[in-house]
Amino acid sequence: MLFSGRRLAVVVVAVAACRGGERSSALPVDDEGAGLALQAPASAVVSLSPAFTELLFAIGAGDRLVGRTRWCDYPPGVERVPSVGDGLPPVVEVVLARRPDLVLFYTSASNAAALDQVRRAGITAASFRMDRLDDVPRLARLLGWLTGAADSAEWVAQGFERALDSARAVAPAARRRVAVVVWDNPPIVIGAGSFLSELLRLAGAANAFDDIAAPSAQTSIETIAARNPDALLVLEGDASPAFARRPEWQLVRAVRERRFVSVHGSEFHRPSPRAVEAVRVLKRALDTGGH
Amino acid sequence: MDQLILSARGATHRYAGAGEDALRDVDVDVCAGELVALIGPNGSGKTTLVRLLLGTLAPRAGAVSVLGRPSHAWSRPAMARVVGVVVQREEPAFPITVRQTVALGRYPRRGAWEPLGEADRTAVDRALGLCDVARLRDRWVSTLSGGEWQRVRLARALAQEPQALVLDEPTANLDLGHEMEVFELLADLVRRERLAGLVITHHVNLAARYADRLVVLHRGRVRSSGPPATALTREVLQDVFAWPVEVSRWRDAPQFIPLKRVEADGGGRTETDKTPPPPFHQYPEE
Amino acid sequence: MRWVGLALLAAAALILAVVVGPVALPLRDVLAALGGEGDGTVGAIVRELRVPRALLAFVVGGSLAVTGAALQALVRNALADPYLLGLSGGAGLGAVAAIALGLGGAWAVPAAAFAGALVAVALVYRLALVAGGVLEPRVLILAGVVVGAFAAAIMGALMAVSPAPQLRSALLWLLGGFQAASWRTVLVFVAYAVIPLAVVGVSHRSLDLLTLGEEPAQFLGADVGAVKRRVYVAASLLTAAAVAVSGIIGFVGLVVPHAIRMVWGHLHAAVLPAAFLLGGTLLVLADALARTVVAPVELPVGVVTAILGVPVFALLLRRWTS
Repeated sequence: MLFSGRRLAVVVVAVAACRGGERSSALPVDDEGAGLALQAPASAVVSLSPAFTELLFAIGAGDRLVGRTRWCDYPPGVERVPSVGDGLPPVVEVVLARRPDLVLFYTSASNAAALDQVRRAGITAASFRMDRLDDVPRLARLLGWLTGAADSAEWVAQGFERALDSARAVAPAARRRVAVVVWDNPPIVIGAGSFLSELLRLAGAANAFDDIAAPSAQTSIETIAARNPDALLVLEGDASPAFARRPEWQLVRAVRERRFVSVHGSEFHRPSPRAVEAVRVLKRALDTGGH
Repeated sequence: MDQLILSARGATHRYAGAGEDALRDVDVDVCAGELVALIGPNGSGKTTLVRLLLGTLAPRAGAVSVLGRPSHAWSRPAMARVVGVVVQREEPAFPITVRQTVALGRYPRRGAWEPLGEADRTAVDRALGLCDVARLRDRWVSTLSGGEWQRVRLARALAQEPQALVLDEPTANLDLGHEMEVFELLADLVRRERLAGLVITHHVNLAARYADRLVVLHRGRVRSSGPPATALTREVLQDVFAWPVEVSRWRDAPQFIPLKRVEADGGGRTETDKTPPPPFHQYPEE
Repeated sequence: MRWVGLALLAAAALILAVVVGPVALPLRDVLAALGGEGDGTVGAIVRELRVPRALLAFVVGGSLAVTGAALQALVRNALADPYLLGLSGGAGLGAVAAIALGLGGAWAVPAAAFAGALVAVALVYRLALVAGGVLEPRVLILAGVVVGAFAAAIMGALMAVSPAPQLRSALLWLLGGFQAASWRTVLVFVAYAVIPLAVVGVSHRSLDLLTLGEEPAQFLGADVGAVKRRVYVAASLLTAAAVAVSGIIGFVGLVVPHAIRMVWGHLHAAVLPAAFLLGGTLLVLADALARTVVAPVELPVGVVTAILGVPVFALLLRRWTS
């Protein structure tokens, strides 16, 4: 994909337009407000989040990847990209050894020092948050611009937006209340800040904990029992999770009555272009599920 | 007149929050070459007096001085060059040898970065010799007996090359032989080195034998002071310690024998002990 | 010639820490990078990451060891370590609060940790004073435990209500590490640590005397109150800075002074500098181990020092009690 001044202008304007039409500086910024200045589109990218890795492949920039985290598991073939270990925080030395010209960080305070060190080595570092479905087209465009894959990125983004709009249009009214318990001790549930909550809504279920603004939060078995969800969403594909056998969890009706909805697949671990397909899978699971 | 080293005039002190004076109007002098023993029951103000003399407490009234200067005007290092103190109880936190312990006594005379010099080594060796602990020099102090540890600390005080020695109950927890050793050594040192010696002790009889002068404190006041023969009488002791005693004598020094209450009272209580009372006022053959 | 041996050990550790790492770099390239030439990436790794990290680990380790030795003399307790002042709880609380509040910037967490540490120290000092007696060791230790426990409780509460990523980063920070090392950090720490280290160093005689007990020390010429105060303040400042920069790294301050005393005796004129060298050496080695043993994952340095420290401590205990 050749880089041209005209395409840059198109993308910059498009990006600016996505921001509700603000006419801020032409230079895009990352999610921490740092300006993203690149001499040329990045051709050696280290992605420190599975969400970015997947998105890069989706927009056709997968060949630019020179480093990924060990948690990056999609798409197939990603194993061929060398792993740099953890992404939060990364071992900067290993990242630098891949000789990148762009490093993508997941926005978090624990990455502050590593971000600083990468920048001081003269390498562009960008920090992005990817928690909700709207982040998918937004980041697709940003990553497209950064890697010179602006056209295909735009195509992916628009496709996603259309699919998402139609999914929203046909989303059934929430018939059931579901809680997503991602950890049992301490109990951690998904809140409204996570794309999983949005997936549930699109699939016709309400998140029993959508009053929590954060993507996840620690709660108690009592609270889950008090909210009495109709089912528990299980992400690991087990018919019933290990904690369901514990006596203290029998307090929750959904556990007692073995009302589990199980799905598996990495599309449920992060917001990605596969989200709309994930909604379909979820809907099917909800309809057939309950056990 | 020998040089006056430690002096208190009308020393008065009351601890914060206390209902009465710990010390009232106390006069004490300790000159070079004399051993003064400070006697009195618990709480009579002995420790307070010593703290005032050594400048760790400031008196509410009166004057305490060392070499003519007020005690609390002395800086601690300067005071340490004049007065060597052996406190009642001491336990080093870390393993240390006898020689190292005594060498610590040279700190007041060494600059902050000065290594051990010839003068220091000489002083340490001399102190070890005077206290007869030279053969113990490389032993860990934790392996010493009570008496040996006492003498080592005395050696350390001597290594300071002081003009005065102050000892707080040096014979507490020591057996008979060691008690005698310590007092012998102390009296000897005071005489030989012309030091001013002040010793707090509960051991009235040993004090009477070895001290040149005694000061008896009672409830913060000086009850009597002077040479043992005049300062220590039966009345004084019975008054101060509230215990009946009989006085005997050993080579000019009064020696006191505490009595059972029943013997002194006479009537009062049922006599269960049928043995006859010991003869009094007996002067043993020399 | 123990000093020569120790100095060589320190130098060897520093060199090792620059030569090894999660990325295997040829020795030739490393040496070239140290000389200022050579490949850009290797140069960046060696000069911007490894060298400042090794230096920082050295000065932090040295500071912790010196502080440990000084505090052991101050409270006359061989089990004292820099964290007995209660400031590990305060520092942890400051750092966790900063992480939980999502305060940005590379300096937010260290600054908050430092502030938290000093608040904790001030609290402990105040508590110890209230209980009577100026800095009486037993009271100090108890007050430190109390304040530390209090801070840890609040820290736990904060972590409980934090979302998972924050929680993890708070935990990782607490366990200690030198990942954030940079030339700026090294220079700031060194410039800052010089004065407290000097204060402790200058007090070496008084520390010798203090180990005998406060009364004997006083009568041997030590101004006990003043020494305790200034050593306490210097120790607090040093430890607060160390924790702010690298989290809570245990065992160095506890074990190194003992090991030093076994060889160099107890006089602080020797113990303090030797402890600095050995503490620095150990922490540099521990950090090198932390970076390489399960590369590319990094172990927290505090974990490595604990794993190494426990058997060493057991060994020391055995020698000490025999």
